Amino acid sequence: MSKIKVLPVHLVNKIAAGECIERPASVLKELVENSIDAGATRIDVFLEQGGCKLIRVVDNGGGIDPEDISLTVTPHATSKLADEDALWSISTMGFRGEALASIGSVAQLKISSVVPGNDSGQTIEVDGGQISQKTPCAGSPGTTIEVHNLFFNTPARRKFLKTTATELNHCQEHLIRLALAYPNVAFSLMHGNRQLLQLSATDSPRQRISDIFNPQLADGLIQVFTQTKNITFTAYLSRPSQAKSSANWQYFFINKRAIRDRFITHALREAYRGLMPPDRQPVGFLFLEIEPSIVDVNVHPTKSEVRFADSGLIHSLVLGAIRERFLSTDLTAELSLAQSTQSADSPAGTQPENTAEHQQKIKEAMKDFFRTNSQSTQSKIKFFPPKSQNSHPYGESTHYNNTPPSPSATPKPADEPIKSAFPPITDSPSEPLPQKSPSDEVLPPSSTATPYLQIHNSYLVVETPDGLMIVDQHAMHERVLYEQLKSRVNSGPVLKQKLLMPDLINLTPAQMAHVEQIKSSLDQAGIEVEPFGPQTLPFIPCRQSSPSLTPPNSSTTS
Amino acid sequence: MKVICNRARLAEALALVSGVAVARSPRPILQCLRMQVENGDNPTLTLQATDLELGVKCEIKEVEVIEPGQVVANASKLSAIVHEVADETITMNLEQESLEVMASGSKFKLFTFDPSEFPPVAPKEEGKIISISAAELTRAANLTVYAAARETTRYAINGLLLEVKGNKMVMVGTDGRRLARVISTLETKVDTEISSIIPARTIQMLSRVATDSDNMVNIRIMENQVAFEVGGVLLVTSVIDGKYPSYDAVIPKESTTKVKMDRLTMLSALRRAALLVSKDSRGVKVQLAQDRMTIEAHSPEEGEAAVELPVELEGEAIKIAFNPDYLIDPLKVLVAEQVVMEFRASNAPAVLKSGSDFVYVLMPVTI
Ligand SMILES: Nc1ncnc2c1ncn2[C@@H]1O[C@H](COP(=O)(O)OP(=O)(O)OP(=O)(O)O)[C@@H](O)[C@H]1O
Ligand SMILES: [Mg+2]
Repeated sequence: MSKIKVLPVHLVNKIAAGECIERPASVLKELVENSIDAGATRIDVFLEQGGCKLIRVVDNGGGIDPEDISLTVTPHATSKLADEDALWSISTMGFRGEALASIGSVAQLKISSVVPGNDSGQTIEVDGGQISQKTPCAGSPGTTIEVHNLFFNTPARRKFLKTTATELNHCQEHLIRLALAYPNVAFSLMHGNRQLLQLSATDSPRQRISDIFNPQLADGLIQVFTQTKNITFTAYLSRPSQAKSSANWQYFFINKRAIRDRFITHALREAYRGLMPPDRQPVGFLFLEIEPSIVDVNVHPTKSEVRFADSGLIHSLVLGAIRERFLSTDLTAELSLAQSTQSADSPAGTQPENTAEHQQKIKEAMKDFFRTNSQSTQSKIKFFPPKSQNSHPYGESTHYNNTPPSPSATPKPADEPIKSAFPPITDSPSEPLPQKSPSDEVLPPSSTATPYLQIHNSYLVVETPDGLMIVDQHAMHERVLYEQLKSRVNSGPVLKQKLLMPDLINLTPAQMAHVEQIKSSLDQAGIEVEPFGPQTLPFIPCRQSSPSLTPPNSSTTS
Repeated sequence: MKVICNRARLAEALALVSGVAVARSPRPILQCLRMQVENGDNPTLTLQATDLELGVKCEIKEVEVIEPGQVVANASKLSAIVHEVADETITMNLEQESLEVMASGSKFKLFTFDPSEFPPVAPKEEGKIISISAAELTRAANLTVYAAARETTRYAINGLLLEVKGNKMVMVGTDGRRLARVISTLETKVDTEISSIIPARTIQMLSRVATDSDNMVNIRIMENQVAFEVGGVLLVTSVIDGKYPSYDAVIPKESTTKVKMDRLTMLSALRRAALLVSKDSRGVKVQLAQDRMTIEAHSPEEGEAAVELPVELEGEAIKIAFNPDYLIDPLKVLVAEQVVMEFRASNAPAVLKSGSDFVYVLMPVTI
């Protein structure tokens, strides 16, 4: 029985016209959406050259009726939308009947489909819009669609395709979005002969997140759930401490469609406001199920934006639900700056950053930092001038100096409260240090050091000519190491210590593509990376560290 | 509680025990040690300390007990006091929740804590027991412990692998760049296979404790703990949870070059060459040809070194580079007069061997 109908023209005109095919990733998205609409429970994707050469999607869905197969590539032919009312309550991913026709006009398309129950099916090919005769084919139930040489007949558009790595990256990202929305569908992604994704079907979105990204991330996510009459909202959100530096880790879904939406973005940021530094972005997977009649998914050719009947309502629902969940969640453990007050009775090794040895390294790095830093700034900074116990605290250049300081106007009184509150920084032999316990030990005094206060063994406060500077000493230490490595790399080839057992790191496809791009820079820094194993995502770099980064941990020669 | 104690013996025990107490712990009781005095036929003073990962218990017999009892007091203070006074004996007395420490001419009072709050230092279960001579255990420990990683996030290799199978005990340390493995023979067979990852710190502690080589060490291996018992000292440590890398897989089975040389000559040659490796790029070039090994170092800031030593070479000539520290480490702790090194290629792991039971695998560097 024929199921696909050509939409009446007046309806066609209501559907946002325009190109939904921009690049391989958009083709992939359309094909996988079709497979999902066809009820597939397993979707296998094969790509060649980032999808520019070949995109093949194999599903085990309901197939296409033999008599319908040529309609699939007819513009505005769809099995999913019969009349105008249905357009306002779309529940399938596709509804325009446009995707395959568009793809067929800019690529070489081959569709083979076997309806479950039938022994054989039909194949049809489209070559730049030219539709071939259908021929019978055999195969297992489901549909296989191949798209070869995208934009082969439109050189102008082909020119806009980026590198294989970039196109692949987009494809992976689109597939990941679909995989997040449909955890109960098994997915795989192969690029050439490399397996990039292998996701088995699961009922749990968290499990899916774990399979795509990593278990550590997934396990730490906080689940948010709320429901009203027409809206269900579920989210998996990172703790503020797990925030990232970009919003790439935020995924929004409305009725299983990945979308961008500034109201939801805003609500999410609002919910985290004050919980993390303003330049950080939370990791979040937000799923909204909304009565189709109160959201319009047909405002953008790639369906990546939606229009809400009442966007204020969605905003307050999302924000309210997250806030409420955060209020009842103990985020404090993750928020405290307590690295330094961490109890020493936690098992050794679990706080590698907090060991005495590590603290010592930070101290040494900081000592140097202030020594070098002070050479340029010393003349300007007159905060507790190191050698001038008897000069005026505000220095020579200020109007306070109009009257010569009397002995009683020494900086003592001003110094006193601070010095007792914090360990003194400058070398002041006249005042022996109070008996210090190891925990409030200060940095080794250096005679030329810029004075600073250390707070919670984590932050440094330094005076500058027009204000003060607060330094996160841990970040600074990283920076110092980075600068050291940089100058080391710039001064000639770095010695590489080969590893007996490579360090294995799991990366997402997107991260992996990035690593491939920066591979040569890593190599210069003494770090060799190579993919490892046939496993799912794991991209397993072999790390060959340069000793300046990781000094030999053996005792030095003596 | 009141006890008179041989000061030297007490100082020695305190040095050991207070090394475990956590000087910086936010839980004051973990900065303490617990002293327990027992009378009867066998008067003893027992000292205990724990950081919740590693616990130590040490018995002192050189005591005269006046009144049994127990007390918990700050470990480092007590240790410092006992270290500073010079008398032959020292008297400790619990007087109204203060610990009085008395020696000639001085008297100290230390505040104490409730002993019932002190975490117990005791094995949690029966476990399986193996026995090994202290000499053999310290040998195995010394030959492997320096190779263990420190503070890496691959927690498993921050410890040492202790494996027992039949009458063989295998100890392995690695930091991912080099690996040391030593096999010891036990006097008795064990019927089950054992494999635990022991924190490197425990192993270091162990070589301080098991000094009397005639002693036997009882190793009790439990689900999450391992305990070592030797000459009145008990060490109980939690084991590291994790999967130790399969060490056998990284030990090369073949080689194309084999050299034999005098261990001390090699050690001294390396030390000399290492004087001129550059600070942030520690590598020496090793060249093997015609019964000579040449070790060259080059430091852009300071100069160069070339050291030669005689070797017995079998197989092909080769050039390879190493971090000298990684070769010095095992050469320092080995005792054999001669060692053997095997190579396959300048980018393949090299092997240092001594006897049939010690193998050390080392990754080269590329300069
Ligand atoms: N994998 C598939 N399995 C079964 N039927 C399919 C499959 N792919 C496409 N079809 C059929 O082909 C028709 C056309 O697909 P096409 O993607 O062009 O349009 P659509 O999905 O209906 O709408 P949209 O343009 O919004 O994607 C679909 O309506 C569907 O009936
Ligand atoms: Mg479609």
